[in-house]
Amino acid sequence: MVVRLGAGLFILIVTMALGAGSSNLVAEELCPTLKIESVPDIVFSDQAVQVRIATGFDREPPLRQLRRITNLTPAEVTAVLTIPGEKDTPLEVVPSQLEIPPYNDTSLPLRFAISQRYLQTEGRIRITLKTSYCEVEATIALRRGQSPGEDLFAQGAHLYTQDGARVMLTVDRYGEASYRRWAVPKAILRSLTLPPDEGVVYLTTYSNNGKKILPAMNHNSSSPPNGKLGILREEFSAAKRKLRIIAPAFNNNAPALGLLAEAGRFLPEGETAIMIDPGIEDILFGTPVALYKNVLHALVSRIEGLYPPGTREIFLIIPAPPAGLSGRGEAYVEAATKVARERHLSVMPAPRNSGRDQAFLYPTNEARRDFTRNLILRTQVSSRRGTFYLTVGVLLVALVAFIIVQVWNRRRLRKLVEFTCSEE
Amino acid sequence: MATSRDQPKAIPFRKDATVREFLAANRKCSAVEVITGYQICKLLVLFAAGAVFFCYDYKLFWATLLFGLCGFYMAAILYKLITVILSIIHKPELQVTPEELAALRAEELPVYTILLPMYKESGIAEKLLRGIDRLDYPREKLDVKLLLEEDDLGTVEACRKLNLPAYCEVIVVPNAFPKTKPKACNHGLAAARGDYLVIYDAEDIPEPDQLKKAVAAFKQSEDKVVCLQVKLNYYNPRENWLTKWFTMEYTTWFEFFLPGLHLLGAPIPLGGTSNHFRIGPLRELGGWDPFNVTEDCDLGIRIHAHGYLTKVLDSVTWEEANRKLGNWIRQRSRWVKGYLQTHLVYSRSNFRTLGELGLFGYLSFLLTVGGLSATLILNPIFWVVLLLYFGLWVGYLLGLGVEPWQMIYTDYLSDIDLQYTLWSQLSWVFYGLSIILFSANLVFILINVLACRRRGLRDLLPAAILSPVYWALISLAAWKGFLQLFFRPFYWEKTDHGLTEVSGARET
Repeated sequence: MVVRLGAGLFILIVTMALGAGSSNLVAEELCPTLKIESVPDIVFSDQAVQVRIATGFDREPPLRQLRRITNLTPAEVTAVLTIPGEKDTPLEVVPSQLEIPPYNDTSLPLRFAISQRYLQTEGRIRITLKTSYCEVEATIALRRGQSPGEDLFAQGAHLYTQDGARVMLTVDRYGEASYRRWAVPKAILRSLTLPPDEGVVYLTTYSNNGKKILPAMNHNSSSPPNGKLGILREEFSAAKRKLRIIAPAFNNNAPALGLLAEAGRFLPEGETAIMIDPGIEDILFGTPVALYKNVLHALVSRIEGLYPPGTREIFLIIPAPPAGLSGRGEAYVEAATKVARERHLSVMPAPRNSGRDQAFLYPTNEARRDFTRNLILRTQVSSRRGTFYLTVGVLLVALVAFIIVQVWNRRRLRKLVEFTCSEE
Repeated sequence: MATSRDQPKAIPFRKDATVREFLAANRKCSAVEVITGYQICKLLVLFAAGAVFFCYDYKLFWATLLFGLCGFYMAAILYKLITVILSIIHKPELQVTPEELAALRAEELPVYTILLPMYKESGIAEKLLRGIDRLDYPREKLDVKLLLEEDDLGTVEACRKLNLPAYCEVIVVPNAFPKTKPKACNHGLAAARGDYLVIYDAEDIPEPDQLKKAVAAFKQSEDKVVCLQVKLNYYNPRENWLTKWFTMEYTTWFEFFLPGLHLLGAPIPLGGTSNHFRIGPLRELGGWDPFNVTEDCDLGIRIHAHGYLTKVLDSVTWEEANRKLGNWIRQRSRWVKGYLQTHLVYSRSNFRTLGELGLFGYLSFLLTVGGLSATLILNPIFWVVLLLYFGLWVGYLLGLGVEPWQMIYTDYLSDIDLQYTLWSQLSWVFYGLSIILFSANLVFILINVLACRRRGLRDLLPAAILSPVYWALISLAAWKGFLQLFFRPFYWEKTDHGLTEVSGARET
């Protein structure tokens, strides 16, 4: 007992000696900082969101404050969802121990659930850290996958709004069951109501700074065809088909993310088919496969949001991993294939000039030309519509012929029976 | 065998009173109308409902359809297996002991009518009479009717040349529509003098004491038993692969399956020949439907529907197994067509049939008549689908760039279970389908092995193991019969007899 009292007295004396006259100094001069350290770029609307914020003090603590730790109560960290036109919704934050150490930034994992209702909307999540002497906040822009807006840009491996807020895109889980509801009549209706203009939008990554090269390619016909896009343009022109190429500025952190950011900046102009060609850049630059896959999901979701439902056919071009990267590339191929399968997209394999064993088959440009001609054939609405009419016609003719033969046969047999059964 | 030169170029169709009388009394249960307007409406409603279901959710539609078909298919196969097992355990056939036979006094034996329908079988008329002559029955109590067709001049001539015994009478059936065996039998029935009646085919070799056994069995049985089905089997099982399989099938059907149905009290689809009848109830039932190409099956169901019974008698009639594929396919296609006709007849009013046959009898009818034909028709579709599916696997293993559908697509990147994708669901269906097909084939082989053991034909075991090939042939014939139902429903596919090189008399 005596020992314990002695120890307590000692700690009290030491603490008072260290902090004598300085507690007010902290309150007046030190303010915590807050920045978003990690936030999921793309979430599915049935997922819970976990955000990690980093906090610390905005400046070095004064001398003799080295060991001070500021404890925050849960009530001092709040997250509020602001949706235009609606009242702010406080989000339930699940805090862990919240401590702000004086020197190094501390990551504070915050978990909060946003109900599905809010994940269907767009707004901002404001995370506020409030102490008795200071209040700081960080913002996350909540955007819908279908309509992320045109103010997005990709930087690093993330999306941002023009005002610098990190973007969290919410994508609806693709409802397999709801897709199947009346899928057959919808497909028939779609093939009959596709606009006659059989244009194709080609959305691709292009590592040669697409923003600079594309205007020349699209509008200056005198420039010589160059690479896959040149061949595309040449072949489409020869087939008298409309082609619009969208190749955004290249982002070497996550090239596919560039496509997603750019997707909002083009609008439908009557094209009937959208080609998404993620290319091989993501394989080369090692975009995380999970991000790559989610980006494709969001991209498809975005494109579907641009058009009336079901009026455009979306093709996903499955990348062909380059020689030497086939092992790593397989995961990307798999991811793209799964996205296509889950979202019922038409797929086309990217042009290959080598076999599975990477043995050389034929020149690259020839492979690209074959691919382009195949693409032209696959996107020809008129031929598909013709096939549909032909099939229906043949079936109808066969049915009518069958009915006529049956009716004739029944009459013939009935007459025979009547004759046999008639009285002598 | 008669040649085409023996036939008149064209004999016009005549009127036929037996057909008129049958239809006047039994039109509702006749196959004269293959499918009624009401049935067409029901089918159209069913198709429309199916189309709406397909449009609503095509995957669910396919899954439901395929699982439904598989369920029905498996039920039909299992029912057959259970029936066979029960008949092996219980041996329910009516047995007549030698003592009981000896107790029959010749003067007390009733007059027995034997119907022998023949068409274009001039070559075996003499052999047929020899077979009848071997029957152990007082000649004065026999009433043999040779039923010949008016346009079959060759056979008529051949029979006239024979020195026919007094108990034989030739009845020339007028050339009337439809030209079927049941119509000829109705002519025979109209002229029959006996208390009992039996039908034999031209090439049949019944056991000599069969008529006496039938008389004894009828005496032992209650009055409700109006028909005795005798076991049929072949005397030329080893002639080629086809006769081997055919023998096993007949052994299964007559040694196991029909006795099993007898045991369960289910309606028995009669075999084509060697059906012994009490003539009174047979006339009351109206005889055979002249428009049904398996009039035997139809009559078996009608007997049950009228509250009468059919039993299986432990006696054998030896027949000639078809040794030529084309001939066999013609015969088999007629059987399937007739079974479908019968199914359609009794499906006109399902509730009435249910009331007449009882719940168990109705289910048994569905599984043995319609179900059996349906399995045969479905078989090739299932096989083609499975072959395509396995083709995907083979292509995948050979690296041809195709991928078989997996049962579960697990997304290893985000742990999302994608088992609800179209391909995985179809895979479930196809795996189920293959399990059912393989099980059914195993059951089929097993039953055939049992049949070999029963008849002591152990050398036929390799054929039993290869019996799925025979199943494929049956399906081919089934499709022929099925398609013919639409265009030539009453056409009697004639089976040629007398093609074997085996002497039936010696073999039996």
